[in-house]
Amino acid sequence: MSANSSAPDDEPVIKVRGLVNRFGDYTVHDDLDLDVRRGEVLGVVGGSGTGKSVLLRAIVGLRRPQAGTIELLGHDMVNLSEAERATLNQEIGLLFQDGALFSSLTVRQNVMAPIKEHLDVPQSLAREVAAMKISLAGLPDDAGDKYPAELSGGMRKRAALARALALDPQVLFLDEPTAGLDPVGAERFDELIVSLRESLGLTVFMVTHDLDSLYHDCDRVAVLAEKRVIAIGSIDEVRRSDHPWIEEYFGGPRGRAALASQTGAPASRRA
Amino acid sequence: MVAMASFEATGEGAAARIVARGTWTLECGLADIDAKLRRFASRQAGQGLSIDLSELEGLDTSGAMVMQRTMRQALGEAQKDALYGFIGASDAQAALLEQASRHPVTCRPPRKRPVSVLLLLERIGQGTENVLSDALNIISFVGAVTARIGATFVHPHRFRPVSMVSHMESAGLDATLIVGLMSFLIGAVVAFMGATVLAAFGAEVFAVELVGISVLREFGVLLTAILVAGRSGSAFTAAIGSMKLREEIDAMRVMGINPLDALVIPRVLALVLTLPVLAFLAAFLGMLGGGLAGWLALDIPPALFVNRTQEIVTVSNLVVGLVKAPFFAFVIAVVGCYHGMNVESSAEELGRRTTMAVVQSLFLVILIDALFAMFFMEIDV
Repeated sequence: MSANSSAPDDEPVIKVRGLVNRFGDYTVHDDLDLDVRRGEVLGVVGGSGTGKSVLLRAIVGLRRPQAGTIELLGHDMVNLSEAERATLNQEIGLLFQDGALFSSLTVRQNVMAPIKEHLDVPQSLAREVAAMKISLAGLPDDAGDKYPAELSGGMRKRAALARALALDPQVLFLDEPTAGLDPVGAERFDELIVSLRESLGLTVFMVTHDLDSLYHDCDRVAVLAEKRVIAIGSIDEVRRSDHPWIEEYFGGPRGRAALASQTGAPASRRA
Repeated sequence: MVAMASFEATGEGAAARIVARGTWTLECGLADIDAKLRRFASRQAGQGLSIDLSELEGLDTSGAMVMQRTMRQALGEAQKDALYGFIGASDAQAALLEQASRHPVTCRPPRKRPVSVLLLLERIGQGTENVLSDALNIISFVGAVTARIGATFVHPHRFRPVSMVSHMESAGLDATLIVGLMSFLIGAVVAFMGATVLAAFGAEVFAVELVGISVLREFGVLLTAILVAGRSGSAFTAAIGSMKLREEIDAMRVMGINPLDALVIPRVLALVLTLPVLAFLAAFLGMLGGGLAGWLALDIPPALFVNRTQEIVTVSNLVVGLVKAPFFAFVIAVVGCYHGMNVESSAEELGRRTTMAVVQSLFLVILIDALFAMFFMEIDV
């Protein structure tokens, strides 16, 4: 994300065209198109089983789609050579749903792992960089020496975020970042994402169920249903859509509560 | 090609100034100037400094962190705000510098491990204590399982026959091919090796007794038990352990299902019932292997082999072998389930426990076999 990004600003960071994903006979995505612009936070929502995580895995190249093209930072993700993948992987960070921290390493070693794998950096500097990322992710100093098993769910997520940020990625992928966090923890996590986006200039692709996160973090929202992106745009634009699922999603009690809390009306946050 | 990170230091004391050039990122040689910067900062400590970013081409969070660290050391108390002392920073660079100043790195040196003879002794002591407490825990688990099996006779509705039969299938039926093949080969090897050595005394024909007695009494059942320990004991640990990790066992407890009833007892009983059958199969195929090797390679006709076996190798040999099987089975299943039930917290622990289950059950199987050998010698069977 260094302040010298070379790609033009209007070129989308992620460009998905005609994506088809199938599991056996079951089609998850059919002719799906999606653009993510540089520097935006895009929230991806959809009911269970609409393939939000599948889409994320296809974009980062963990899953080979049945058809379609995916461009990430100008690389063709479907036919990516091993060498290209290695360089590209330094430009993206992925926060898995359960963190996916390496259980045999301490948090600090987890954060240092990508640094030491990709760059020739002396131990002392790598430790400092890791300590800063851990602090950046909102963890206390002493968390670095702990093992993932010794951390609470929220702390594990933060540690995983620190690891995802280790190499200063341009694009950050988040899979349900606030799932399983308590309301206070989730709110802090939302604030963290926003502040990181501002100071680091990240592009964020966020799969989420959390309406408060959507209102708080996201510039645009993409709604997955019927095997495609049925609506994409700012929250207000998407809410105006008359698709039944969208009406139910934003018009339900939780949707109204999240909206109310955002506009300042008295309503309990995170119903 | 982007320019590598570099800097130029000018001026002395309070007028000291660093002009940063190139790209200050981890990828572009930030590591190479780090040591030089550290030396500079410690020389300059407390005397004041300004850093000029106007010629800088790129900056990342690590570069900003290194700048802030240098600045902090050079200014000490005099640092008033995040951007104090920085000149010519663009908005994006200023944001990074502010971000870095909010997270000052106070890097404690890595903990040094004390090395001494005491530490070695401590490890030995720890290891001994672990072995003893493990042994105690396994014994108490054996007690719990035995009591629960006893209680099942009083409350037969707790017994889960479907689960037991399913485990009998996977631990027993599915193992027949490998157990049979292995004991067939062992029988053939014993016959062949025995006959070769006995030929020196002109006593090849005693190979029949050798095969009969060794396969029926020891090899059949012992090797079957070893194979089953590696095959099913480890599977028990892995299956129960991963259920433990996913909190399935806690879910059972909350629903009022006793995990011993649902998971352990069906496995233990299944193995206790199937291992003798497998051992019988192994004994039979071992004899077959021995006979076939004798016939094809050593010219001992099958009729002679059968006759000598009937005359000399008594049924008691087979009984001595098979009597051990349920004990081996009980130990393998209980140790496997014990380790599965005691997996805590991480997938790594699951792997460690699985290995431990196999090693311990092999050790116990061989120990029990030795005790049985002494027992049978005493009672002259």
